[in-house]
Order: sequence, then C-alpha cells, then structure tokens
Amino acid sequence: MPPTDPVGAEPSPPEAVTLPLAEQEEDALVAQSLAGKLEAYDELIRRYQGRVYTTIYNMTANHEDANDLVQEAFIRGFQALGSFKGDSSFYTWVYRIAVNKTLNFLKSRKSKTMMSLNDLDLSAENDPDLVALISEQTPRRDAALKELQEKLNEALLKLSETHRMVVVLHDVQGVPHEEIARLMDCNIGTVRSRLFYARQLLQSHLANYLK
Amino acid sequence: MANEIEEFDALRKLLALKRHEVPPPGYFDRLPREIHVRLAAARQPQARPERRANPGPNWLARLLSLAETQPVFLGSLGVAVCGLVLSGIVYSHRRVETATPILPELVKSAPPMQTLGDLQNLPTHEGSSTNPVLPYSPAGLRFDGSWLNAAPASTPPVGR
Repeated sequence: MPPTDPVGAEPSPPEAVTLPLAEQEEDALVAQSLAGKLEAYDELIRRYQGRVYTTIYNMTANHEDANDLVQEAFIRGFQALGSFKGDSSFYTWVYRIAVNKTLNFLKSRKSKTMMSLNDLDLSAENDPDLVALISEQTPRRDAALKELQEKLNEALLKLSETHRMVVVLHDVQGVPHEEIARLMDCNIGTVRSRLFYARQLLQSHLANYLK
Repeated sequence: MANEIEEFDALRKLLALKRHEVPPPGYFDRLPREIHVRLAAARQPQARPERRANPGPNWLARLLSLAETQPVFLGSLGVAVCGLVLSGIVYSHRRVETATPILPELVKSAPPMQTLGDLQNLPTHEGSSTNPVLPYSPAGLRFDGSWLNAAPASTPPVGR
C-alpha cells in the first residue's frame, strides 16, 4: 500500500537534476567552491593536480618539495577564491599561484640542491622521441634512462629559476609563449629570449648526450 | 625559426623524458584528501595550540599571500614606498640648505669670547654646585672642633 500524504501538506518540489561533479563546467565548480562546498574544489584539484605537480616537480627536482608546494598552491587558491574575477580560467589562475610560489621557494632555497628522481611511467619506453634519442641518434646508446634523467635534472638545476621555468613550461609542459608570458608576468619577447638562452645553456651542459 | 627548431631538436626530445616522470603510486588519489585536511585545519586557526602560543603578524601574512596572487600590485606598492623614502631624503636635504644662512647671524650676535686673563680675574667663590671644594682659610675655620672637648659626667653610671 503506497504511503499517503498527510492532510494539508504541500507537495514537495521536484529535485533539480544536477550533474555529477566530474561532468560539471569549471565555472560551476568555482561557484560551488566559493559557496564553501569542498567537494567541488576537490574536483578542481583532481582536474589540474597533474599539470601543476609536474611543473613544480620539474622546477624543484624533488618530490617532497613539489608535494608541499602543490598543496600550498591549492590551499591558497581556495582561500583567495573570493578575489578570482574570472577574467582568466581557474586553471590559469591557480597555475599562476603555483608558479609564483615555486619561484619564491626556489629563491629562498638557493643553497639547497637536494634532488630526488621520480620513476618513469611505462609509456616512456614507447615515446618515439625517447626511443630515437636513445637508440639511434645518441652515441651513448648504453646510457640508461635513469642516467639521462639525472643528467637532465642536473643541467636544469644549473639554470636560473626564471630560465628553468620557461623551459619546463614550454618544452616539457607544452604551454604556449603567450600563456607563459601571462603566467610569469612578462612579455612574449622576454619569454622567447629566455627560452633561447636556456636551451643554449642546456645544450652545452648535455653536449655528450645530444651529439 | 626553422633553424632554431632543428638546432634544439635533440634537446627537445631529451626534455620529453621529463613528461614521463611520475610521482609515487596513489599520490594523486591522496592529494585532494590531504589538501582537504589542511584546509579544514586552516579554517580553525584558534584550535591550533602553536598558533595561539606564537601569533604571527597578520598583515605580513596577508602581504605575502598578496604577492602570490597579485605580484603586480605588490611591485607597485614597493615602488610607491621607495618613492616616499626618496622624497623624504630630498626634502630633508632642502631643509638643511635653508637652515645654514641663519648660523652666521647667530654667531655675530653672540657675546665676545673671554680670554685667559679674564678667567684668572674672576672673583673667588666659596664653593658652588659645580665646585664643592672650599678654599683653605685657617683663620676663619667654620669648624673649630671646640665641641669635641669632653667634660666629666655629672652623674655616676647606673648600678653603682
């Protein structure tokens, strides 16, 4: 027997159909986060944590430091969400916080150069660029990936923070020049010149692996 | 541009290696939860004992956080502060320049300096707050010690 409505009770309005958080637009998630819904912010974190982490890790060459900075960047992003005006995407905005945090951290860390290597994922062995580099073009064909990783990180750490950031954003992350200029608060010409100079330095440091 | 791409082709391929470096397994599953916990802790600062014991300057924390979100604003603030300091220095120099012409007039209006002879002819004094030593004058001693002369006791000691 179906339950009967109590006498005089108003019929409840139909529930609004809401998409799962994973399917919602960024703007909607930002609005919900502003309203204090942490689950919505978790979804934003899930979407961008990979790219933010990779950038910071490649800048610091240390997993623990990268972990701290990623967390701080997202926490700061949540706390300052009220000042987010929406003239750029949330991703660009939080990425910018991460970039500034990382540059400040590296300036204060000047003397410390602790380096830790993350493992390579399985797809690395199938990357045509890497296969070509190791098996065909390089004279040091026996160079292990680990060794290459170490040499590459050492060479990157020899660059200044700003030059390293440009190389990581462009050559590793594939961020276009215009976006880098916005993220680093400089003009495109500066980005291009920094990139060229940084590549030249890296080329000289890694000469043995690039012949 | 094409030359540049060719020039750095091998380097770009090597840098591609960085794309494949991944954090420890499960890291990205844990990260949102860890941030969640830290956010919850940051929302209740009064519950943290170390925060209560050592409260930091709030304005400094705000300024640092502003540097992360709006570095241009902080830069312009720095320029404004530098400008204020410079203008303060310039202003203080100008004040010193305008004050110097007054000094010669003050010097002219001052009484003439006394010579050594004048100082020797100064009247003697009988001590002052700056010179407590009295001049020696045996004839006019203010302390003659007469009251120190002992006299025999008129009453016998108690108990005799």
